Amino acid sequence: MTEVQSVLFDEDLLKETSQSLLNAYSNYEIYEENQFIDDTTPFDFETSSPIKDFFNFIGIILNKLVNSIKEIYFNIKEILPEFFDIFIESILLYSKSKETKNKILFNFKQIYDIFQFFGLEEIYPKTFDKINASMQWKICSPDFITQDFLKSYKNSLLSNTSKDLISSIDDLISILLIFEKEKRNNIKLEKDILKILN
Amino acid sequence: MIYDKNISKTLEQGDILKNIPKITPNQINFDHIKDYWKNTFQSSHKLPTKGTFQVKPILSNGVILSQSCDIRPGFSILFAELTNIPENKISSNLKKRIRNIKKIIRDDTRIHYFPTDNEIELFKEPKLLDFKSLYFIPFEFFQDNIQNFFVGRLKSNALKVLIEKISRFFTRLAYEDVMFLSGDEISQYLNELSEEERIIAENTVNKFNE
Repeated sequence: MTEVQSVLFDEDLLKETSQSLLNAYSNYEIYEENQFIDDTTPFDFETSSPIKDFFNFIGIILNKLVNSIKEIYFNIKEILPEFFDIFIESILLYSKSKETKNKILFNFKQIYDIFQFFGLEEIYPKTFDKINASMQWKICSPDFITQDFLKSYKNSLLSNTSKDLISSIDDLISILLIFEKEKRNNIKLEKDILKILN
Repeated sequence: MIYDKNISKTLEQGDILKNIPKITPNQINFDHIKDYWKNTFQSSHKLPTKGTFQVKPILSNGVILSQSCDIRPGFSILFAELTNIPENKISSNLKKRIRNIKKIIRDDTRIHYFPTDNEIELFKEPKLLDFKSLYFIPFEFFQDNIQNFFVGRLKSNALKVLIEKISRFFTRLAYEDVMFLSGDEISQYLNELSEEERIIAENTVNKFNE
């Protein structure tokens, strides 16, 4: 469960809060009763009191507020994968621009962790495909997303996950492997160059 | 100084092109091909299955090595990749920098030096040509399309140097330096090598001592 979910749906916490409110009201009632007995002569009065109604009113409002927040949260959760996709695309476009070429400050996992905190569970295949294409066209560095993350994410998927998603992840892993080979060749080249330049 | 920036209608040896697709065995999953090939050979009594493999071209900049007479329809053009010089490795000391540039041009067989030219975007910083990073692109890819990729052409004298380096790269002799050393020189030389290089050099020494 995400952090936000764990607070919103902690029934024990909600019970505890309600109980605290009830205890506070009961204590107040006892106090008022004692005050009343001390200060006044007994006579018939109505059983409902403005204070009790007020506490009831607060309870109803709180209940409605929590339910509204839950509904809003569910709606946000549904659009999170699309919003995440747009966010990643924006970052890649930022990296594509001549002025900001290859200057992405965060990696994919860091951005994913933030979105996951707010309830992101699913990444669309098109998000992985955009990163794949960006690497081929050298818009973003192969360090932006790691094989470890992709393999771990793939392992966390349910068995009925769409083939498109699996294929996009595998495709991205394969291009990372290509860049790994290129990197090994480049390291050898760099060593040769450094021998000359030093 | 050494580049002619006028866009040409035809391609020649020494032409510099940008944003071209590089496809080498690295961009193909050869493990899949290996499995497929092995399985096909081993099932000689059955019909082979269809083999389809993915290729992932990578964006690259390159210099044409093919001779100009070989650059025509139906043929593939041979490129060598232009790469950046490792960051912060070009010396700020002018004397040292000039010495290094001369070393690359005159002594090194694997790489060639392409100097800066502030009027060409690609050469805002100097580049190196890596003769070990070679790939082919079909002529038809550039037909009616050259202006999208053309960066510049090497002027005549610079082209001659490139041609000489191409020739040197492909005709260079592979040998171990250690065979020209003796006594303490051999021990010192072996100490400076990596593990892998030391094993090869020691084998050479042992062969000569047999």
